[in-house]
Amino acid sequence: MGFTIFRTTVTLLICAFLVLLFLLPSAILRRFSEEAETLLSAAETALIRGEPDAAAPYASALKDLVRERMPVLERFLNHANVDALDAAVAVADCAVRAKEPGAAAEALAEARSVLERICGIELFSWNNLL
Amino acid sequence: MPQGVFGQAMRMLTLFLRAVFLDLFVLLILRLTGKRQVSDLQPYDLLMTLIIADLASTAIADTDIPLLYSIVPILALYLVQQAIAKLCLKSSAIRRLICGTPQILILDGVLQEKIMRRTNYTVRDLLDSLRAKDIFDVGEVAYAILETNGTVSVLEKAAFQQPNKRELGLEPGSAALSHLLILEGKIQKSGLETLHLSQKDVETMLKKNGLALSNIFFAQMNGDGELHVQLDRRNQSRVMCFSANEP
Repeated sequence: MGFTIFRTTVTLLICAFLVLLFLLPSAILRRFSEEAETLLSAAETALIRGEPDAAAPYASALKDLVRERMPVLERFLNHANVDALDAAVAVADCAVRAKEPGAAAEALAEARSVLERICGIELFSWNNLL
Repeated sequence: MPQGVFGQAMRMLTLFLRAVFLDLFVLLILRLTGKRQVSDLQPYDLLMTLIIADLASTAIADTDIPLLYSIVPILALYLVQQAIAKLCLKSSAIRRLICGTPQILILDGVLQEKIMRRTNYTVRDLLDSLRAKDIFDVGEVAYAILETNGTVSVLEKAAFQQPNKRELGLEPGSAALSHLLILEGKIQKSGLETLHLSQKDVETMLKKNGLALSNIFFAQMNGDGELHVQLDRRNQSRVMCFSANEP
């Protein structure tokens, strides 16, 4: 009887834990991707305008954002993808500081691609389900 | 960033801790399923156990993968298993669908060829199973039933069944379980509680027979109050039996 109650309690806790996992990581990732997307777009726009100095704070903020959120993201994302994003934003930041707009734009495009891949993997869709 | 030997050592520690954590996690899940040994498992349960083991080993070895990638599928399998177990308890139709039904391989001494073909159970398999039950002649078998967990239950023909005490008119004796009282010089509290004895009772019993608790390797008491004692190696592992009810 005692074990049955224990098992029922654990089963209910597992259900609650799973529901939390279905909702929380997705919310964290959505918030992160929106913030990263804003900074990415701002940096890219500045580069297109030919103002690498204006892009520098955005690229730096993007790098800091990824570094800050990495530990949380690695709890539920494949570490290789998070590392790839971190590497891409670090390269973009260096290139912007070095005033190399071509390399910076390439690194930002790579960062965008990795971010889209991460969001794509996390998305609940038929493609991912099947 | 950790470098060199120290960095490697931390990775090894990470692997070690992941293995310990997942081992404990899988242990908890398997205990919650309520199955104790492989022979208890239905084919579906066995399959689930194998998948759980595979999922756990993936996350143990690959530190690039978050532990949640293994934990979530394992929890999902556990929930599905619990749901199926509940459904099987509630509905015999679902139980038949999931677990199958026992199949009669020998009916009234006759091998059921059609059923054996349907279940892919060969005559050799059947003879193997009968030998494992100390039956070497299929002519001694009245019924053989292939259970859903793959074992074969056998009912021998009346002429070959062993007579029991009642049929022989013998005194049935006690059917009570024996309980462990002492192990490696230490009194086992669970045994004392079951037999309604105190530590003092046991010590008095031993003293009466010239034994010291510290010299005893193993002692067990049966339902008739007989104490089976084996002394430790220092005392040549001597075995002795005496009744607790003796004056």
